[in-house]
Amino acid sequence: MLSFKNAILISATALVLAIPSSAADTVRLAPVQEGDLAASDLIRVLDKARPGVSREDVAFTYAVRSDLALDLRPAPFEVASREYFTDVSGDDLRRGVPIYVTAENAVVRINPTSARDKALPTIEPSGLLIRSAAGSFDKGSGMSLLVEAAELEKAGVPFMEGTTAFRLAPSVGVGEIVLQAAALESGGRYQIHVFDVESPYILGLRAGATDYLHGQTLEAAARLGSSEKTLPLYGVEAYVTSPAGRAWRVEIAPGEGGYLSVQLPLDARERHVDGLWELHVAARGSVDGLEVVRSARTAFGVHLPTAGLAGDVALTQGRSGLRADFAVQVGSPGRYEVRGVLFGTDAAGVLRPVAMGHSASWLAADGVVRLSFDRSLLDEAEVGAPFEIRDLRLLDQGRMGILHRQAIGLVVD
Amino acid sequence: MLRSPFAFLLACVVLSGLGFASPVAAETGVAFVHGTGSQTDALNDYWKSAMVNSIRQGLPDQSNYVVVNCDFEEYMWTSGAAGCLAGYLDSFITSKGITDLVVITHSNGGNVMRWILSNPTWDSRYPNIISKIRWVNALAPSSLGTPLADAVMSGTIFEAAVGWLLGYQSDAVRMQQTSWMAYYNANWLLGTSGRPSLPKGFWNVVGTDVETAIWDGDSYCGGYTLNLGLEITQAWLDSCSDGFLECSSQNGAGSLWFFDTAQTQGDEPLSHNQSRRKCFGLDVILRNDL
Repeated sequence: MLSFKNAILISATALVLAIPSSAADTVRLAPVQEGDLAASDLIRVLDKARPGVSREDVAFTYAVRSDLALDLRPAPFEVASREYFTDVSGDDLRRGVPIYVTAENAVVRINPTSARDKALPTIEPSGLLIRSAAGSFDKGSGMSLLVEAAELEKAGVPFMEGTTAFRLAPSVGVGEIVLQAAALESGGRYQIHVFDVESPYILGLRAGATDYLHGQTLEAAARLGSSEKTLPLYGVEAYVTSPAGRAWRVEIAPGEGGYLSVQLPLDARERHVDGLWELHVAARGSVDGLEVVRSARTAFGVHLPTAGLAGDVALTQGRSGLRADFAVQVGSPGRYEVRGVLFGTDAAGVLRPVAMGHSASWLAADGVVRLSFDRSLLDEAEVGAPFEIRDLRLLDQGRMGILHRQAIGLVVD
Repeated sequence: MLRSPFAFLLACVVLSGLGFASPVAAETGVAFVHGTGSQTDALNDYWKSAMVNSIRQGLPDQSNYVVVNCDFEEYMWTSGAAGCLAGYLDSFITSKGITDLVVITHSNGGNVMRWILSNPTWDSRYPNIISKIRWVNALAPSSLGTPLADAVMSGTIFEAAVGWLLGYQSDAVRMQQTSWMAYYNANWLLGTSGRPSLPKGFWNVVGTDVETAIWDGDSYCGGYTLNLGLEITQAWLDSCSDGFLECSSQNGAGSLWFFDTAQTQGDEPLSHNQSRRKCFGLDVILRNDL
């Protein structure tokens, strides 16, 4: 019996025919809609693209499943944090540091904060004194699980060297709990991570979009609360970091529905470093006399408008299939890729996915990137016009830039 | 179940029917792609030769295998990661005349392989590699990242002068934070829900549980002995996990091949370490798939 795994293999393998094509018409991209991304006001960057970026024209097209459910508006990731961390000194720990939990069985990790401090003494859980409203606990008596640094290392999770952890025993209770390492002789710094794992109170954080262009404004929303109630916040701090190492404090304002609103105009002019931008938020609230402390962070992309789709598309339909030459305006030399999903109309008049197309070229100045969809793909899918190219994107491969993303990019009648 | 020889034969028949010359015998090969880490001897340090030697018994020519050694501490797209992997696969395909390649990945190796499948124009070697791949068998891939990477990076000190300074300084771990993988899945990677499908099958083997007990011999098969550290790290994960990755992440891109207990001997779960070792018949399942 032909398995599902095998059936897909055959479908992908068979689509390799090529036939010559005919003359082109110039059409325009569909209008950009809300939620699309479209670079304009192109800039020339002095920073060179990544070394080793290919200069060759490369194209690749393949059939996609007709039942593909394409999400044309990528939703930003929503973070739900029950954690926070705090940076303390060895002196603080010697005197006693308060932490805040709202539910039993919270997990606490402690580690030296920096590689420079590798020689700092490890804070072993059994050496901590725990004080809470329920009493004092020493020698691990307030912990249901103690993990020394050597044990945590065996778990294979790459925590910082010298990290220890413990789980608070229910007998310690909730609320403010003081951790004290009275015998600690260290002037270094440590981080304490508190994971209030069973708490109903979550700091939710979401950026307004997965990607922004230089000059656009980051919008994000944060909310502290449970599924039933939103907590009033105080002591909210937020900052944004860029891949190259810059950081900005961010103003927080009350938003709709109990959410806090974050806004920051984004300046992406920096040397290229791989990686993402991050929004970090720390917040405090209180409920039923308990302090709720949380921190969260989420990632997003910010891109320099090094190129953009000009809007003109030279379109050729014929015996060879469908060919679209996308005019690309280039602000900075680089390797630019156009990709998109071709939809075609079946016998019932329904638009459905046919093929994924990728094409990339090195462009030193304004030029063209061509997507070709072979006739065999259309015949195999048993589709014809009208066609659409959806999820149309222009990417700067050398700088990992998302320059254009359009839910419905091209409509071909 | 002899799935692959049958599949490849059918594919050849289809191509022949489309006007291609009569199919020649397939030259089947298998590539082993390790997970996070910089490997110089993945055969012995990552997979163990017992695992590799058992699986390659399923090849018509048992010498048609390659064990990749790359720097997967880097971001998946770098020359040290995807570039290195492409170099191994391209050389393997060329030197052995491989026409039917099965790629076996573990953990973050699945992300690096998915980078190549998702970005075929990134490197002129990629299209040829993709065209030779029959499918990818992704053992416990970290397709949606892991909350443990978030925990590792939590509170990482950021200093403007030098960028990410402290904490765990692996770009691969940073990349496998859940919000980062969500970003890359939405933009650069294909095969997750709502995104275009990959050009070749990406079949997930999902580890669902970790058995750790000092009296349980099963936990010793490349797995975890009783370990308090592992017990506390589970606080960050769903109840369905292999000890490092949640099941939802392991099955977050491509298609489900099987949940461990559905096919392993004794219905044993595969912990994250065990899914790269000769445990509970996994090697035989992979061998029979060639």
